[in-house]
Amino acid sequence: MRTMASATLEALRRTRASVRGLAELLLERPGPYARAFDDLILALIVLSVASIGVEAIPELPAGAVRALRWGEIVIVAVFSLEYLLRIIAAKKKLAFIFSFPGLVDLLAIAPFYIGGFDARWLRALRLLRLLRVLKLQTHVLEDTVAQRTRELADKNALLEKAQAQLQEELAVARALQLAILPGTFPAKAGCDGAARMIPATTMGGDFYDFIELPQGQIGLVMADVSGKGVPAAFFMAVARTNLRDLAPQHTNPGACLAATNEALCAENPMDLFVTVFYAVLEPQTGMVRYANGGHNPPYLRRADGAVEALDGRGGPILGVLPGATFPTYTLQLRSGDRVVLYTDGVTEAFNPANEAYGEPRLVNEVRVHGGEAPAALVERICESVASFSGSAPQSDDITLTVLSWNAP
Amino acid sequence: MEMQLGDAGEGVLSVSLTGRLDTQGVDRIETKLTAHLVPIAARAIVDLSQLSFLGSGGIRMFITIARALNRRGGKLVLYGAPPIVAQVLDMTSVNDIVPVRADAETAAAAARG
Repeated sequence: MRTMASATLEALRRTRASVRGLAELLLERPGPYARAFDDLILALIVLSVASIGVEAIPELPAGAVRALRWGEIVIVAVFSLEYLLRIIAAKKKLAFIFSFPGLVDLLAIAPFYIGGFDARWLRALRLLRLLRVLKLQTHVLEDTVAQRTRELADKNALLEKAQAQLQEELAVARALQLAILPGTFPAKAGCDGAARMIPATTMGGDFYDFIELPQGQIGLVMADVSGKGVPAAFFMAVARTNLRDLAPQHTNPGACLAATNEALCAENPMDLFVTVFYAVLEPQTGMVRYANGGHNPPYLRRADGAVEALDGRGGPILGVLPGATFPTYTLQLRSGDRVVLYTDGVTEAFNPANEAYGEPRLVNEVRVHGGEAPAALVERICESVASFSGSAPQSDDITLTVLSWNAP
Repeated sequence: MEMQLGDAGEGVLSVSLTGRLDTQGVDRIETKLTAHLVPIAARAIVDLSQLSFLGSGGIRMFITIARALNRRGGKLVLYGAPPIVAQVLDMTSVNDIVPVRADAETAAAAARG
């Protein structure tokens, strides 16, 4: 008894599952069956609406009337099956039955069940069957919406993929940009140097460089390309390369900047410019010559803590004015001196109250902590800027170099 | 960043800027200002007295517009820079590329001449 009952239950369950499976196959799953069923329903709707017109023709031959009747039976049978399947497939059955498409489907078949071919109902039947046009409309509408949704999903997937690829490429470009910057200061007796570049979120154009020159001098570069993004990053690479190439032949800093300026002016379709401070240090003697092209004047901290700006009047920003000249200045370092080079990302770091970090705070850091080793001073200044700006986003690259010199 | 466009008389246009000319500020006004001045090769003076900040983006914008105008026979002259702004203009020697004057009268004369 028990096994028979459970076997029956099992059979019923399987039947229910397979009916449900049939419903999903014909109605929901995208595929050839659903499409074919779709087309069948569409054809039957069109036929049934057309037959309303044909029936209205007076004095139809009996054969035609019979054919129309049989056609109607087939149509109602298929529509009824579809209606039942939709109810079975629907997650919320009552919601479907009382929904607009649900009611239309019901009205498309109900008159037949209520009145059959009874003459009294025939007229009402014919009029109500016009509602099948509504069924046609909702059908076409559902189809269109489904198609548009699919297209939209496809487009979104493509866009996301393209976006991900772009981000990846930008990340590589940013990594390359950072890799160009020298990690360590050249090993020379008496000299020590440290540098740090904290990029802003969008690619910027700050750079620093240490160039080993032919007669043992060291070239120190601190530069800032105008603007952001790919053009600035590109111009940064070009400017850095030009300067590096010309430095060995032009150990006079002013002449080096002039030559670099000419090279940049010659090829600058986007009117970008770069501010450059360039100094050449002789490690043996501590003599420094420097020139400035529109850049923030660096600070010199003497061993006794006095801080002064190397702000002799310089030349213009580089890249826009062919023929520009850059005066060269000379400075004699003494043991224990420090030179701090920076870009405006430091002094123009803003806090949430829209105040700028400013030169006075930087000078103070240099005065108070300048006695420490260059790497330690760099860290101090970066920390000071970071704690000043707090939660405000970093809008510009922050770049710093500190050089210390002791008589060998 | 707010921008007012006007007429300084005798064929010279006037531009007056208020606020911070940082990256966002430049984004807001660059296209409009370029479109206003460059196609007609205008002679224009720019009042900087209400600027609280001038970043390198602003410098680049002025240089680009000035050069475009120069190529077409127009002219751009800046004037009235407050101390912080004047400092930036000085440091970058913008005056060599875009003339900088003290006040509207000398600026207008420079734009005309």
